[in-house]
Amino acid sequence: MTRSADGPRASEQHAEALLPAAYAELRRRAEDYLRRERADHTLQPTALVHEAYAKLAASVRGEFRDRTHFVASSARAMREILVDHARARHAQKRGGDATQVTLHDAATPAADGVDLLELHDALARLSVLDARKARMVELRFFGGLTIEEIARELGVSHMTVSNDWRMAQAWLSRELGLGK
Amino acid sequence: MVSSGHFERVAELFAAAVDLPADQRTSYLSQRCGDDAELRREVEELIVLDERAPLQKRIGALDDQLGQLAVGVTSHADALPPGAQIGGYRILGELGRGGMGIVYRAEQAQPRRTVALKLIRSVLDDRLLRRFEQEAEVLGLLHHPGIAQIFEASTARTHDQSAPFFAMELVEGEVLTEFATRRSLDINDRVRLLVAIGDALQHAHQKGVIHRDLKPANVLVTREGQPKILDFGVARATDADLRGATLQTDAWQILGTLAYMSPEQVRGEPKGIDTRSDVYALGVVAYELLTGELPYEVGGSLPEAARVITEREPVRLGNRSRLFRGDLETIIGKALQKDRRMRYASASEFVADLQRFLHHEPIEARNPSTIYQLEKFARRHRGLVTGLLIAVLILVGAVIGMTHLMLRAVDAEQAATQLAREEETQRRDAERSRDIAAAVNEFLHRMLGAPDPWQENELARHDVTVAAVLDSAATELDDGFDELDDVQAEIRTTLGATYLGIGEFRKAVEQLARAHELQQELHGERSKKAAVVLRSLIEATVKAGDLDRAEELSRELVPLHAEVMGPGAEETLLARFARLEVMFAHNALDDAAAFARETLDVAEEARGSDDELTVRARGDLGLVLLNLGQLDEAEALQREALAACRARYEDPHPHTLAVLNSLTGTLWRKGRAAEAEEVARELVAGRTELLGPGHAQTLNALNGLIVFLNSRRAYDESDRLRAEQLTAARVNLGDEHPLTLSFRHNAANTLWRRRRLDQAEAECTAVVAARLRVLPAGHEQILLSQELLGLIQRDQGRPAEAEATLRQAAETARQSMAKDHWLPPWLDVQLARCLADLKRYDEAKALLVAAEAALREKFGAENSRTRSARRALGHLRRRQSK
Repeated sequence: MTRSADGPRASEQHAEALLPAAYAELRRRAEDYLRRERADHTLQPTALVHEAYAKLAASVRGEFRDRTHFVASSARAMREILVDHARARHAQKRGGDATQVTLHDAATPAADGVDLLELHDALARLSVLDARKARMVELRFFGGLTIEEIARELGVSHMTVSNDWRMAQAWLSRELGLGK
Repeated sequence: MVSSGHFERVAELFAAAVDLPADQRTSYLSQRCGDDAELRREVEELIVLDERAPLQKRIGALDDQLGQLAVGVTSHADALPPGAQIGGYRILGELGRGGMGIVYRAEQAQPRRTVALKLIRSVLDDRLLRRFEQEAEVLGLLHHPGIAQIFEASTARTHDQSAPFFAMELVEGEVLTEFATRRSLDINDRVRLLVAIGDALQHAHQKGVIHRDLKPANVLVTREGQPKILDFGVARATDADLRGATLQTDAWQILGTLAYMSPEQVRGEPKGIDTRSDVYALGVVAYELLTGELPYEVGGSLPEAARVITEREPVRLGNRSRLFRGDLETIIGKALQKDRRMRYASASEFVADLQRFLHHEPIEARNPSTIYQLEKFARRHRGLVTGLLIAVLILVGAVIGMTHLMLRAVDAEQAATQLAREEETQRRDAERSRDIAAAVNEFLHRMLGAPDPWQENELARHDVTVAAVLDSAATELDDGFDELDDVQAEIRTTLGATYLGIGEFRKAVEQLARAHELQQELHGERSKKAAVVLRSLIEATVKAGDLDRAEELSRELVPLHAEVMGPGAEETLLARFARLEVMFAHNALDDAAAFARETLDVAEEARGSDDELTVRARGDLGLVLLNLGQLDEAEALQREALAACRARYEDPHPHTLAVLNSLTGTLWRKGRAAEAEEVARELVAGRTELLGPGHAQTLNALNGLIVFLNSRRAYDESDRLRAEQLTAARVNLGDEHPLTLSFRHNAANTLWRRRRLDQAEAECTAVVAARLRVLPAGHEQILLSQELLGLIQRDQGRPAEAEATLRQAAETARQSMAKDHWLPPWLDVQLARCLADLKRYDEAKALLVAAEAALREKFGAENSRTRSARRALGHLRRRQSK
């Protein structure tokens, strides 16, 4: 597992220990995603996931006040899992002369998407410059928390999060070469 | 590198200025920034980006990307940890996952034993729970050595919900098909396994239980060789009324199950399902156990798969291997009938016939009459079959006739007294031969020579002895037939076209080259006959992989055709397609695009926009544009051509498939992987059906599908397909055919991605060496293989070697590629990464800066390669700053 240039923060100290919990949370996100993808059928969030969450959350060190706290604590682990996975997938897609005549450049990311690996790199740079903003973006993107939830977790005002968020958004947009 | 002090200033100014009205902002910033224009520009840039909020706008897409990734990540995450308690069972570990839930190894307290516990992944309401429990009771009635015993079906209360589960006999065994493969069972052993499975099925049917989901994965074979069917009735107890349980599983899983479903199940006729549906499923299992393949390719979308199962005739067992011709083919064929009234009425009847087969007794099942089958075939293939048979007979007849003629010529010499009469006979025979040859041509050209592999390959598929007939015909010609040059030219042309059709490219080139020479001698270089043969010769030369020769031959092709037959003639358009193919194979894409546009204009002008050739011209232009990266226009053209093809031809048709081929590339390049995969499956299925599984074009289509599968890490399927593809390519095309080498390159690429570096390196080294031998120096594919080899060496921790490999590739690329080609800068990016590994930062940086600029110039700043170069620069800066 790769560790980013910036050091782990106090709440992320247990990133390794939190891996299982992060997986459980990722599963929830995956199911949310699948539910959105296939709007044609109703699928109840499974009992199993809740059970897994309860068990895993209890099995790792530290007590979690609630789901937000739990997600915030495991967001770094989730980011690393996701980025590793994206890296593997990206590697799959890149280069090679696939089908001899038709498929030799296959690296194009989805038209309206974001290059996750670039985002990850840019975020690492941002955290050197302004750790709080970077952490916020991490919680927003990789933890899937709302601005309110982030404010509560970081113990700052809604306004602060909102202002930080705007600056971070603009800065990252520039770093990622978006909006030109 | 930007300091954090600087960043803080920017952030502070941004926060203060961003919400000011525009005029106040200007004066505020000029006051605060003073003459630091750089600072001011930066703040202003960020304010613009705040307004446009490009990242903000992509949050939805990003969430989707992350969601997709999460699906990938968690498909292997655990649900219940060991030690968890479900009902009276303690979880010991996970055994596997299926559509309906997870199967655990679990320990039962009373009686004390280890069981398989299947936890159903669904939440039942009370009504459904009662139903589930009723079904569970029935399942308890099944006792048979061939059925995994169900001990209990119940629900465990967890929190506020009920989790239904089955506790079953824990079978320690191997999946049916794997068992047979690993033990290398012969046909009779395999049939004996099927008998045992059929017996178990019959037992359940007598108790009124239908399996509904029989497939190899549900049959485990113990070490003693006893097959045991799992999950009996589970489908009934859960799935039938709980569609949700099925729908939430991966669509591919459904497809996997779908392949074993009977047409009536696929059509969703709940009352139409009876024991004969299980008979059908057992038929599919038998088919797969014997041949290793499914009776039909069930891929693509669910509706497409359903259509295949309900409508398409399975590939006959005997066509998979001659070993299965006869009774076994008849028996399995009867079990697989679409109309269940035509199937065995029960599992026991099926078993009885299998046993008769084992004992060499006459079976009960009867083939549908030959005439009935011929009718069916002829109906599907529009009378082709009859014509084909006649054509082969006549070709054989002509060869016999020639031989006869030569023998008589010898006689003639010896019998001087009969000379006059013999001469008369010879002349008559010669005329007759000429007539025969014309007839051969008329037939075989119609059957095989048309630009329609659909027809060519009926031959390859249905009669392998055709190759032998052709070889002997060619030998007869070589042994002396020189008096009748025009006939010989015709026959050689026919032989060449036929060889082309069955994929014997080199032999095709040989025959067509001779034919071309003869036609030139007989009718002149600028004759219609010479022109037409030349076109076939070029097509064969390209397929044989001799690109330089094809280029040389094809330069004059189109002007020649236009001169002899007129610019809008069908033959001239076909010549244009051949020329385009050569340009395309040479990767001269800009020229090819211009030429393809011109061809489309000519075709539209001469033949109207709906003509078959115009449709093809449109598809070809789409393909070239795709390769030039002009994706939107390419897709529009391809969709248009596809609609025209679908309206015009019955699926699958070669023209439709050609369009699908380029469409799948476009979709993939546009990042629409799921759609691309779906199209690729249709393409593979279509080509397999038309051309046979080992044909070069089928293998090429398979390559696309494998790439897509790898991209979503469906390695089980992709590994299996890759192994089949490589074997077929080596056998049918040869170890060093350019196409085989492409497949091997891709295989090496996949090995590298999966970090099997030693294997990857060995394969890639071999590919580089072979490509250097068979491709023109400096060919793009050589360089791409060298790039891959360099990357592998770098990952093997040998950056210096990687540097040498990549440097050589980059230098060659610079010499042999056009000035603004993307490969030289791209290879520089890879090279720079090695240099950075070697701590030669300054060299690396210089290369990267130049490469990034060149790529940006070529593709724009947003392109993935440009970004990759930028990312490498970022990494470099960070490494340097450490």
